[in-house]
Amino acid sequence: MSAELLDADAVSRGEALGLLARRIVEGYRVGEHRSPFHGFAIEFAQHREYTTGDDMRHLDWKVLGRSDRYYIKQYEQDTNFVSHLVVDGSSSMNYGSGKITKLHYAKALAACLANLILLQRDAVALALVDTEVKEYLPRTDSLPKIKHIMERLAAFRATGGTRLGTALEQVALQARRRGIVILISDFFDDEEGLNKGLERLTFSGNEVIVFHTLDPYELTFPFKGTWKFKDLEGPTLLKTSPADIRKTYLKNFDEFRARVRKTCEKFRAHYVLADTAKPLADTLSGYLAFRHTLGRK
Amino acid sequence: MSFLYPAMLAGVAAVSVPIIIHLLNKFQVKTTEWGAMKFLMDSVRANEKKVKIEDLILLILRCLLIALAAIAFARPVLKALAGSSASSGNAVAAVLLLDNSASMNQSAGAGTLFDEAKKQAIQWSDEQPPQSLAALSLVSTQTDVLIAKPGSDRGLFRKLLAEAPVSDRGSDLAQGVRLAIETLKPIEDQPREIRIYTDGQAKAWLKSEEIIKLASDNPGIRIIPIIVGDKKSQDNAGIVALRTDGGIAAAGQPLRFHLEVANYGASPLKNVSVSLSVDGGPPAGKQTIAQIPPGTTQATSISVAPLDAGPHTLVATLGPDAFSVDNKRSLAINVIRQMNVLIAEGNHDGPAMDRDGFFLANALVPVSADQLSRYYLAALPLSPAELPGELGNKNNSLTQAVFLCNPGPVSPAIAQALKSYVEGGGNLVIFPGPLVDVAEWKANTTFWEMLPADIWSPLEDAAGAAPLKFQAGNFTHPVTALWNDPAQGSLAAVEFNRSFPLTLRQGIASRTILSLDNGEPAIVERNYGEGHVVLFNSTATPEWNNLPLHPSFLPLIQRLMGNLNRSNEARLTLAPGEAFRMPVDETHKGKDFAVQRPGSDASRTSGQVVQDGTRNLIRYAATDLAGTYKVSIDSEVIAIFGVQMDPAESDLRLVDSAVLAELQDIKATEVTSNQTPRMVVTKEFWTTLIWIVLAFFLLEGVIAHRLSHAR
Repeated sequence: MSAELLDADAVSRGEALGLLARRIVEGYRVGEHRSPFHGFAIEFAQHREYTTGDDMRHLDWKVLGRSDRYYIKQYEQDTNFVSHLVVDGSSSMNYGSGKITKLHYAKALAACLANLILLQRDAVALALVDTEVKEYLPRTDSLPKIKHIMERLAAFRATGGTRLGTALEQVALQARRRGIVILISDFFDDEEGLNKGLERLTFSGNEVIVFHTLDPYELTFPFKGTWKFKDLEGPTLLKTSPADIRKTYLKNFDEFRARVRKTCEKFRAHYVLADTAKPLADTLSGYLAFRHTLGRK
Repeated sequence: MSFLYPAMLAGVAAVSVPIIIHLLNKFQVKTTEWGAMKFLMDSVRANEKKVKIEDLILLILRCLLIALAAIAFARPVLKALAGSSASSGNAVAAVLLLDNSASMNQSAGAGTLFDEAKKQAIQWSDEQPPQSLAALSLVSTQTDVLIAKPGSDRGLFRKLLAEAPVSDRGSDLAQGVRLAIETLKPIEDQPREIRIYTDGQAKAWLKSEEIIKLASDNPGIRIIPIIVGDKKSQDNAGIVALRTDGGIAAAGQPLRFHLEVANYGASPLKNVSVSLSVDGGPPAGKQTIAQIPPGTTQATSISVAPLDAGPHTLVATLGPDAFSVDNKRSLAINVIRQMNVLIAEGNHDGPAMDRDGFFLANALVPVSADQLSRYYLAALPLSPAELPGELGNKNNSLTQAVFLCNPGPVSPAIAQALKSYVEGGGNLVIFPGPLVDVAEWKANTTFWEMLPADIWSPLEDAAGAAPLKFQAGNFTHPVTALWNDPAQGSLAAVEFNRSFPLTLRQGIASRTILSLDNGEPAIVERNYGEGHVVLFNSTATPEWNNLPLHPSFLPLIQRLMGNLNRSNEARLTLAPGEAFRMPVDETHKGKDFAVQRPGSDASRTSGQVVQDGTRNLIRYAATDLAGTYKVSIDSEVIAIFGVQMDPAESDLRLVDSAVLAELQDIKATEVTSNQTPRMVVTKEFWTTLIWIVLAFFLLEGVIAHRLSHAR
C-alpha cells in the first residue's frame, strides 16, 4: 500500500484505521514467526545448560568457544514488555504536499505498530503530545482494546506548538518499567526538547525508536515561481522565490536531519526517516527487517 | 555616430520584455501552508540580499543583451566628410589595374610577378585611410572588371584580389587605363588615381602615347605605374610560332611542322634544341638551331612520322628559363584519312574530256588509277542539281571542298545547300563559264551575297587586242608566293580570251589571290561563316583561257587546297581569350559539352550546344590558358583545339624609363570641389557589437544556470 493510497478519511476513523493497520501488519506477518521486538534489549539473567529442544539461537557461542560447553542464555524478562507510542500533534504535522499529511502518516504508523505489538501479546501505551501530553492511554496488552487505541488516534487533531522535552518527560514518568518508546514526529522547532527527552527516557533504561516523519516537499523543496508560505504554527507569512533559496534551504534542512540523527545516535536510539512519499508498509518493513538483523547478532 | 538602419532601433523597446517577465513572476504568487518555517526563514535571511543583487544583475544583463542586439542590427557607424583632410588623411579614389598578361608569370622568388603585384596591391589597400575608395580590374589584351565602382569594402577587395587569375593573354594597358578614367570621371570630391601594377614589359606600353594623352587630358586623375619585380630586362627565349607546314595533314603521310624560336636576350643563343611531342608522348622529332642572334627569330621545321587519322595534339618544347610559359607551345591538328572534293559541272554528261571539271579533277588528284584509293583527296564529279542531296548527306563532314565549274543557273536549293555548307566550315571554289548568267546569279541573293567579289558579264577581248594575262610578279598571297621565284616558272604565260570582270566588295574583307596584268582581280577569296569562298574569273577548261593546260595549274590548285585546309586547321588554334566555335551534328542539339582544360586531368561540363540559325554550335570562351583543350559530348572527344600564347609576351624587355618619367611628370590638379560634402563611413561597429551580444548571451546563460534562474 503506497502512501498516496493512504486514505485520509480512513485514518480519521478508528475502525477504518484499525482495519488499515491490521492489513499492513498481517501482510508483514505472512511467513514471519518471530516477533521483531521479542527478547530484545531485555536484561540478561543467567546461563543454563542446553537441553534438547532449546532454540539454537540462544546458544552462547562465546562460552562454547572458550569452554566447549553448551549453554543457553536466559533473560530476566523476555515477554510482555511495554511499548510507549508517542505521536507528535503539533500543528506543523498538519503539512502535506499531497493528499495525506504527516499526521495522517504518523497515525497510520502508530496504528500499525500498536497492532503488531498487541498481536505478539506485549503491552502498548499511547501518548499524543504537542507542548505537553495531550492524551495518554495507559498500557494494555489486551487485543480487543486496540479498538479504543484506534479511536483515540483517529480522533486526535494537531493544534498546538511543540515542546517535546516537557512532553517526553511526562511520558518517562508514565513509563516506569523499562520498555520501548517509539517517537513519531517531525521534530521541528524543538531540537533541544528532543535531546532532553531522549536523555530522560534512556536514563530510565528505555529503548527509543525515532520515526522522523517528513513530507517529500520538505525534503526536496521543489517549488517554482513565487510562493507565499503561511506558518502552520504561527502567524508568519513569507513571500519568496523558492528557486533563489533552494540551495540554502536544503543545506539547512539536511543539517537539521543530521543533527536529529546525531542526537539519536548519542542516546543509542534508532533513527528512521519516515518519508510520507514512501509506502507505509515499506517504511515499516524496512525498519523491522533492520531489527531482525540486530536480533541475530 | 549614426545608424545605417535606424528603424532597427525600434527593437530597443524589446528591453521591456525581461522586465515584464520579471514583474509577472513577482505578481503571480501561489500560497501554501508550511511547517518547516524556521528553515525557510533562515534561508531567506541568508539569501535575501544576494538574491536581489543577482536578480538585478540578470535583469540588467538581459535588458543590455536585447538593447545591444537592436543597436547592432541598426548598424551604428562613424561617418566623416569624404576627402576632408582632418578625418581622412590621404584618402583617394583609386582604380587598381593589375596586369595579368602572360609575362606576369615570370618567377619572382617563391612566386610569380603576378603574386608580387597582388601583394603590393593589398599592402597599398592596408595602408589607406578608411575613406579611400578602390575599384579593381585585370588588364591584358582585354580588361576584366572585378570591382566596377570605387568602394570601401576592403574584404571584397582582398577576396577578389586573392582569387584573381593570371592569364596567357597578351598585354595592352591603354584600354585598361581608358576604362579606369571613365570609372573615375564621376568622382570629383576626392583625389583620384589609377595605379597600374605591371612587370613593365615594353610591349604592354606600345600605346604609351595614348596613355600619356589620357593623363594629360584628365589632369585630375594621376596615373601611377608600379613596376613589380627587379625592374631589369630579363633575357628570354621562347617558341613564338608552331604550325603545320606543307600540304594537307593526311593519314599515312609524313607531317612537317614549322617552328620559330625568338631570342629576346642580349647575347646570342647557341645550339638551341627544340623537340616536338605528339599526344603527350615522348619527343617525336627534334631539331637544333645552331645560333639565334640577340633580338632575332629563327625558324626551323620538324618532321614527324605519319599519324593516324583523327585529332592530335602537338607540343613543342624548349629548354627551361625564368619565364617558363613560352617554353612550350601547343598545336591541335585534325589528320584526315581521305577527303572528298565535289566537282559540280555544268556540262556533266558526255565524254570526260568535254566535262567542265575534267582538268580540275586531274589537278586535284594527280595520281594513276591504281593509287586513287590511297590518295588523300578523292574527286567526285556530279551535276549541280545533285549538290543539295550530297551536301545534306551526313558524310558531308568528309567534304573538303566544293568546286562549281561553269554551273549555269544556281537554284535556291543549291544556293541554300552551299550557304549551309560554307557557314559550317566548308570551302567553295567557283569557276564561272559560258552557262553562267550573271543577272540570274544576282537575282539569287543567297548565292550572290556569298561571293567575295561582284561579278560582271564576260567581256570578250577585242579582235587583235593583246589577251589579258595573270600578273607577272609581286605575288603577296601565300598561294601564289611560290612564283616570286622565277625558277618556279611564270604565271604571266596564262592568257584569257574571255573572262568575267571582278570587283572586290568593300567591307567584307575579301582578298585578291591573283590579279590580271591590268590590275583587275583574277582570283579572289573571302571568309564566309566558318568557311571560305574562292572565285575565279574564268573557266576551269581551256575554252576561255589556257590555265588548265599551263604547268602552273596543278601547283596552283594544290596550293589553293593546302591553303584552304590550313585555314580550316587555323580554327583549331586560338589566341588566349578567343572563343572556340565549332558546328556539330543535329544529334548533339541541346546536349551539354565538357572541356578538359590544360593542366587538368578531368573534363568539366562547360556549356550546352546552342542553335545559331540553322546550325548547332559549340561555343567556349574560357580560353585564358595556353595549351590543349579537349571538347567532349557524352564522354566522346569530338574536338581538340589549342590556345597559343601571344608571341609578343615572350619579349620581356622593359619599357623605356622615359615613358614612365613622362607619365610621372603630369601633375594631378588639386581637388577644388564646391559640391555638397559627401559623408562616408569611416568605422563600423556591427561586428564588435555582435561579439559583445554573443558574450553577454553566454554570460547570461552561465549565470542563470549557476543560479538556477529558469524564468
